[in-house]
Amino acid sequence: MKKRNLIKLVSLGVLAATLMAGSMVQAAEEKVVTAMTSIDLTPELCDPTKSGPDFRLYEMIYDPLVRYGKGGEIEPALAESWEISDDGTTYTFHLRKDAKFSDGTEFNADNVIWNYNRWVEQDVLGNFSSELKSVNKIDDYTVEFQFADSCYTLLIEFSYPRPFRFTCESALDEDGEFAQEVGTGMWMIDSYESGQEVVLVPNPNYYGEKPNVDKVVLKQVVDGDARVMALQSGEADLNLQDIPSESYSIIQSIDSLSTEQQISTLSFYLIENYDTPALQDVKVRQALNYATNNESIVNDLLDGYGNPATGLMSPTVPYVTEENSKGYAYDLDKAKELLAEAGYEDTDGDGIVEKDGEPLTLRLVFQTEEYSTWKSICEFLKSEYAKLGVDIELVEEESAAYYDAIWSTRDYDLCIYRSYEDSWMPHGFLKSLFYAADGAKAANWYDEELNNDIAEVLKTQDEEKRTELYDKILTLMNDEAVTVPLYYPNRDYIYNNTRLTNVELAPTAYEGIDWAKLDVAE
Amino acid sequence: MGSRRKKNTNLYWKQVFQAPKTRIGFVIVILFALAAIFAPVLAPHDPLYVDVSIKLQGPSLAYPLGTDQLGRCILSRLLWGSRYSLSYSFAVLLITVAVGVPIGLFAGYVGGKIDSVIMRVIDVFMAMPMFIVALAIAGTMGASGAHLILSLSVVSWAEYARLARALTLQEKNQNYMTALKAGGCGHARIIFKHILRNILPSIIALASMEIGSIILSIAGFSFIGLGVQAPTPEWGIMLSDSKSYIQTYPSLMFYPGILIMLIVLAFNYLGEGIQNGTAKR
Repeated sequence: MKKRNLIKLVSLGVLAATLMAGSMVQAAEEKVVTAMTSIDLTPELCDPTKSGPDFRLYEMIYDPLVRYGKGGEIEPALAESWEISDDGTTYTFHLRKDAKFSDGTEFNADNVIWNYNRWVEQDVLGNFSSELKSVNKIDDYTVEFQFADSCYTLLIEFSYPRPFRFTCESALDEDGEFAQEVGTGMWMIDSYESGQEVVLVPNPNYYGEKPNVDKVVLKQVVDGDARVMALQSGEADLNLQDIPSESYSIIQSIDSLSTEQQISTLSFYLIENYDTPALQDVKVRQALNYATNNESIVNDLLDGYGNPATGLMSPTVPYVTEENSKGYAYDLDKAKELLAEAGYEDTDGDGIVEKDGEPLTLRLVFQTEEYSTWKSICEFLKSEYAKLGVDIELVEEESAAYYDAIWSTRDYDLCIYRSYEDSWMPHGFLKSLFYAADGAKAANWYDEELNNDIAEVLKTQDEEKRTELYDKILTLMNDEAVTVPLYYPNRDYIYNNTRLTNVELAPTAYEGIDWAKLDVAE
Repeated sequence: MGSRRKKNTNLYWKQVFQAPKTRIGFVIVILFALAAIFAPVLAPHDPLYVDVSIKLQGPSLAYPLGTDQLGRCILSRLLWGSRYSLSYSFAVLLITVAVGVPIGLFAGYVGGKIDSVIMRVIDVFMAMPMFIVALAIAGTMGASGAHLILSLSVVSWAEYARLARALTLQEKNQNYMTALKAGGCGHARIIFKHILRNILPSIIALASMEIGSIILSIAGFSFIGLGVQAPTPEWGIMLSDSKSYIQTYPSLMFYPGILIMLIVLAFNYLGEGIQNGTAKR
């Protein structure tokens, strides 16, 4: 009897405490930040080992062993420190002892092993440049990763937003399927509506600096103009995605809106399909490059927002030099000359060049969901290439079909695309799009020499040799004109300065804003 | 008898055009048709010619309605646009009438089990939502003007078939039918010479009411990227392209918008007039 009373008393106390806590939070007024993105907000796909669309969620919820810091410096995250064996194949990580998952589970060596087993099971180890042979627990807070080869990129690969981030058993349902997002990161998901919004609150068990705000509401707003209008009306505080260049004048005319500009490592370019017979001729590829007026794209079309591309990758990317990424300065006469040398001539006077009676028509595939400027650029390119006598057929695809075209069907002649960013540049980008293992062919451009060089550079630990190899790779890509570089966009974060303070840029674009420092004005 | 029928027809059209609304609609439709036919002569510039150095300019002598985001002449694009909008909608209309009416005639005339089967098929097509069909066709075969015409036709022929069948059933029970049959008139002659001629005004009335919504559908599907593809100067695409400029250059959106509204309104007036005329008869 007495015992039962005690239980009653305790539960009453707990109830009262919860109620009080609840009312106290309300009294202190929650600091809520509403941020907009155009990327699909689908936390149900946000399994560390799966390809969930929004990197930002991965970055906010899950932690890696090591983090990609400012200037590419590798910083401790779940691992306090690490050692790499002399032969570059054994990585020993000393884990931090105060890390806990948002559900209270402790993070330790056993958890690392559990995650490793999941990586094996989900078949994601291919994301390491070298074969991961085994992971061993040395003690509760020390683990050892044993790789087959020495690759200079391994530590960077540990820092990627996916798939090598850590979750725990409670993330899975009874059948072992991913059910919810449980991480050690700064934030945890409070609630969400798939495809619309995600509400994030600070993870109470987070080991690091606690964020200043109480809630971050990420909203999915696909349309660029809608994002601009939401900023204007004060409906949202922060825009994380690009906006149509013509809206910059509106943003600038409003005092309450400020912009933080990130010097990005992003570049936009055209993929050339190596299965298209016409594009197998280097002269045709060079002609397209010479006929691309990058200056005009940036200065006339985009009102100067961005930088005209020279090489495929922006000069902000490691190993890119002026010498190895010269690009092709606009020269229409030269382009025409090259096309004529390749055997293309306008014989029937319809303005389109032919070879063996076949007119040179290329399908240019694009989408507008992620980057609103792409449509104008493609229309502009169509008119520019018409001057060269090349007929462009514009094909707008919705996002899923567009990515299908890039990754599986390869149903295009030209396709506008973007480079990767930050920690993937240049090795991850090259490896993913210009390299294929085991005799397969690469997604973007396949060249045997290029393929071998990329395989080799990943394994080159010596900085000097690596630079030399990258020089060779980038020069080859430039001389062979394996892509048509367009421009390097800026990355702007527009925010309401009457609401937000301490808007600082994070080291990587997928993190975007330094969410720990961000604060709401009183 | 021939001259009396002619007189009747003349009287009918006279009645139809007595209403001022119908006349307004007719004049506007004719104007648009002329613009569509003579677009190559009337347009001051090539509607596809891009010159970004003169983008987004206001009206001037050289460019009466200014230029768009790629420096193309808006007036020229609008004129050529009327060509695409009208020809695409007429193509859809022709296909649907050409497919739907004979099927309806046949089903209604033959009757019985064949009629039931055809009617169930028609029901299936009537139940298809236009948007889903357009999405499916664009998804599997790619988005283009021709595929848009196909998807609109697939959905809307059934309506004509149903109307033609219902009217045929009505005609079939008229007394003159018995007379025709007794007089030894062949089936084909009865169907095409007599029934079709009698039900045609109702079909035309439906068609003229419908064409406005076809124009809207074409513009709508092109607006969301399922129809005619850029850089074709089609009004729906022009609207869609200009939505980024709604705050900075609202006129870009205004012109194609007002034209779509005008032509749809005109066709509706015209259709209403024809329908009223038919009803009076």
